[in-house]
Amino acid sequence: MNGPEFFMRHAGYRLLPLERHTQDAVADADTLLGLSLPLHTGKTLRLSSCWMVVTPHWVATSFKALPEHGFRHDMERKTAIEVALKSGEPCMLLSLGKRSMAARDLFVTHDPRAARMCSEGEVKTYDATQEKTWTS
Amino acid sequence: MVDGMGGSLTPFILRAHLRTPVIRRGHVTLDALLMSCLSCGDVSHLLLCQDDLYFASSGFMVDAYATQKAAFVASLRPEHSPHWLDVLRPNTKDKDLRIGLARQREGGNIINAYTAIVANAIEWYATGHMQDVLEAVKPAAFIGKRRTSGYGEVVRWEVEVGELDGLVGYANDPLRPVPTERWTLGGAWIPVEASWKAPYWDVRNRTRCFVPQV
Repeated sequence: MNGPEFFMRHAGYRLLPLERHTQDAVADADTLLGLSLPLHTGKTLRLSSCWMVVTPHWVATSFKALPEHGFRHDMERKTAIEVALKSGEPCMLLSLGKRSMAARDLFVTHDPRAARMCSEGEVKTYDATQEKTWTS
Repeated sequence: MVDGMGGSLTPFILRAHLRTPVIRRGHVTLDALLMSCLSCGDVSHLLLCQDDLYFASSGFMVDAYATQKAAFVASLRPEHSPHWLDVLRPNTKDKDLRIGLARQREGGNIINAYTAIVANAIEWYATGHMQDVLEAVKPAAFIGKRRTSGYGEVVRWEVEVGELDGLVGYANDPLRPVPTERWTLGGAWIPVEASWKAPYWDVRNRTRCFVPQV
């Protein structure tokens, strides 16, 4: 499973309106990342200027998504990343700025020794087990 | 080993001796290099290929002794070419094509920063027709990124019989991105998401792979 497929299966398809689904995860991810989405504040905003941690079981984010999307807002970014990486399951770490991301920027992290922080046009790979706060 | 055409497929080492530092991003696999040289998407007549997986390694630096920063500024001026007027047919009073402020801000001076590696050579391990591969790459005078700026100049190409098949190294380590489900040798290699077949830029060709430390 590649990054866009992982992202769309576990988070993206909850946000993308049903009529925009094409079953092509890459195309759908590109559509979603350029789409204005309704926020719980009543406004709309592209998926930007926020962080997101996607795992197969939960999604934590600072994006003010509607409650029905089922995203978690009870964790700090650092905590969410640490919990996801220590779970031993694949996850996706997103750090979204003001510019739109593209499907090609989405990478799954399979191992904390090669954690991949995805942002627009750039993916930073680092060894999370070498962080000072990492204790297994 | 014999291929479908009756020729012999042998493990070999292809080496490019470098005059100038080389810039690369990601894994420069030999099949990708050959596809670039031959401007085609299939080089199975030159290299052993099983279920889209080429027995052709990533490029490994030989005697790399330094790195250096290489930054280039591209001055992007947002303006439309006149022929777009015919294509877009703007629905404005004066029929002009204006570029919005947001789009204009994406222009200006863009810095592209790279890391260049100073090395004596870069070499690949593969299984295939070594002489044909050598003939295919010989016209390439520069390899890697920023070739037109003088990086990655090749002094000469050489090929010799090798021992590695292009997939597996001496320590049973991966020599190129290999999907984890197709890796049977075990080992504590770190899985990462990577492209494992051409076109390597296509996101759809990315999957969980074991990759070499290049």
